[in-house]
Amino acid sequence: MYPKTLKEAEDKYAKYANADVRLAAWKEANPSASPAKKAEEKKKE
Amino acid sequence: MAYFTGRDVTVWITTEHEEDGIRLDGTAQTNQLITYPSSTGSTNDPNSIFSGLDSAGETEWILPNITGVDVSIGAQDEDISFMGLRNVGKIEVKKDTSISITKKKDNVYFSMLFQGQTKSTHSNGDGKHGGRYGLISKADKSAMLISDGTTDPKTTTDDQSTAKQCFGYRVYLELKPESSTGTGDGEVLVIPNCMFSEYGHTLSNESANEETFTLTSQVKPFIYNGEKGSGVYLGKAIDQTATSLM
Repeated sequence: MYPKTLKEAEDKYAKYANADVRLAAWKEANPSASPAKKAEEKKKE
Repeated sequence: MAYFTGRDVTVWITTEHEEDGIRLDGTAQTNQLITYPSSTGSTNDPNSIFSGLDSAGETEWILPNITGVDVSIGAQDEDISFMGLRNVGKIEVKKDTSISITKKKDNVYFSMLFQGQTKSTHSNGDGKHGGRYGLISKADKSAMLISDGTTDPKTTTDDQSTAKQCFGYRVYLELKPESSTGTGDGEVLVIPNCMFSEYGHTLSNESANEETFTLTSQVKPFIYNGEKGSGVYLGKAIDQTATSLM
């Protein structure tokens, strides 16, 4: 199942040899789920 | 042989990788096949052809415009005769399953998969091949590539630390969906590790153009109960094939 949160993505990709590459791709495709983006959004509010 | 009309069944085809799929890159005469993490791409991406296993069962990934599906299930036997015994032993060597899908031709995806070209940086060869054999990992496991068919099925593995089998494509033929989410009372024929073996195109001046392609597998197919969670198939339906079954 496609990971919806950063935690899910980290758990899922841990078994891949190229986990860092997959996680980076996931973060790029899901900028709103990354902690930095969330903090930024909170700041705006 | 069992023949189903398009409206009787729902079909999904995925790669044998959890996440990576195949899409068509480029325009007009520069079309090339590339592999990409299908889940991170948009499911509405008009150029995506197949998703990974994790998208099996999702409404967005249903193979559209199917007019007919022909399933042939069989086995290859070896005949063994012993002196003094009248009966011949029919020893099953392997399963032999094929599925022919006829659909209205509304894009070049399947002709490209059968006889097109692959972007050289996304191929484990020189790129002058289609996508008949699914995906294969780079030797250093840094990414998935589209296989050129020069690696035997059992050695075709993915990029997980404990490499899993990922030869070919997986076909899901949903004969009956589950009645409501989680009940698992459906019926889905799952044919793992298929490769494209035939492709045909019918042109007509008085009806829609159609294409027919056949996928073949020697790995044992199985029936899944159709259970879904968050809109996708679960468990065995999306587990990669064990090495012992290849």
